[in-house]
Amino acid sequence: MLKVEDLSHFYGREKILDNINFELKDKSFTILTGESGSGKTTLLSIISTLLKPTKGRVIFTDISKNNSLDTIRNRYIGFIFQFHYLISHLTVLENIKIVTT
Amino acid sequence: MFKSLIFYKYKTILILISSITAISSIFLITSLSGGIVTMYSNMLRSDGDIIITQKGVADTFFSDVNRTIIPKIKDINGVKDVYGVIVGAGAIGTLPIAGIYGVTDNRMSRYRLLEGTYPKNIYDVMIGKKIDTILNHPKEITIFNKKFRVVGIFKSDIGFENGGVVITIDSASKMFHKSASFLLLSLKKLDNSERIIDKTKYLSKDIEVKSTSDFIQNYNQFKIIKISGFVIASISFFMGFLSIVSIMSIVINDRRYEFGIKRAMGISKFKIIFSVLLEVIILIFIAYIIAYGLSIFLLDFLQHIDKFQGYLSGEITLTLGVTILIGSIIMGVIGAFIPALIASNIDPIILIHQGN
Repeated sequence: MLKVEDLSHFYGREKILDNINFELKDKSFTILTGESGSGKTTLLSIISTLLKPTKGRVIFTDISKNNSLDTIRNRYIGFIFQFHYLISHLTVLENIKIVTT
Repeated sequence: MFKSLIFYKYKTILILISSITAISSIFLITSLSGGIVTMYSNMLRSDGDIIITQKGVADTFFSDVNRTIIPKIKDINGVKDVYGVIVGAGAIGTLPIAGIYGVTDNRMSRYRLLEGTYPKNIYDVMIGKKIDTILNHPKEITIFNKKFRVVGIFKSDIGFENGGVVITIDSASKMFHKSASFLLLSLKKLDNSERIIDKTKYLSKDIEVKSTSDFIQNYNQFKIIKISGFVIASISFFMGFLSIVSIMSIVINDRRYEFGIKRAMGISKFKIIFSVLLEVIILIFIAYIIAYGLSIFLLDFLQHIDKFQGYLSGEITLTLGVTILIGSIIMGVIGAFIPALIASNIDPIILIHQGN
């Protein structure tokens, strides 16, 4: 289960997320919608541990306790970016294998 | 990893060139300065267990020891032989400067004769193989405006002696206005050296008597050469270090995108630092092998240039090779560490905000 508790985030003085709280159950499918600039990417970045929140926390039940953020991101999170990110001098297979290196 | 090095080939080549230059310089400077020290040490060590110099004169070139004490030293129990040597330098023929060695008759046999005989008379001279080549096989040479008859050509294992001339000690004595630069004592048994040193000291108040190994260890000129070599080698090390820091910083900046992706994929900071350092270690190792080969070639080349009269003679010992290998890797690791740290701290979030 994924639990988001009292999550707030600032870029400088600008408040992007303000006290967000929600839970997502295992194997559930959730869509996050919102206007451009409403903080969707920031929230997903925080959930995927790419970004550290200014306040609050994200808990992955059964996973958070024994794993570092790098390990959680490496083993348990899949993230499709808005743009494609590939290392140009590597083959497609080598790009995929980065996760296991 | 190799793909990254090949992809950024110009920067890889730059790192290789700067490392090869730095490592080769360290090799050449340390081996050449070590070579000069070794050659002069070997000259003193050959048949010399004990050395006598003038009291209070730190340099063998300026030392003056009275040779009349030689018979008294020979009478000391345990002394095998005593040799007198004058070392000097001067213009010889068209050469502006060359080593001039005046030695007692019993030391002449140290020089391997290639042609002719050893000098016996005051105007006889035996010349080193290099001088013979440089001066185009002369029959006579001029030293300090006096003509000397070339009676023999010799070869010595001590490189710079081949670029010098040997005359009788009486002749050198007149030329340099001294009795002997130093006396060398060979002993029947090395165990007796302390006793013989003590007995020899009583023969004259104007002399300083030391075991040759002790003298070499404390000889000021050697210390100066070694320190100078160390300072220049350290500068080369620092230049290599700075090159690695600057080029690696540019490389890391070019590869921010790659490291950002890796961080986004959850590759740990440690793994990123390790991979960057490993790349540099591989490059340094390749640079080391090339620099080693290049240095051996250059040292051999320098040894065969007659103009240097055999003074430039360096040897790369196993200890020196291993020390420089370790030093080079340390240079690479320290130089690449800060850029590697920067790479590991690249924030993956920039990928999302910057787009493609």
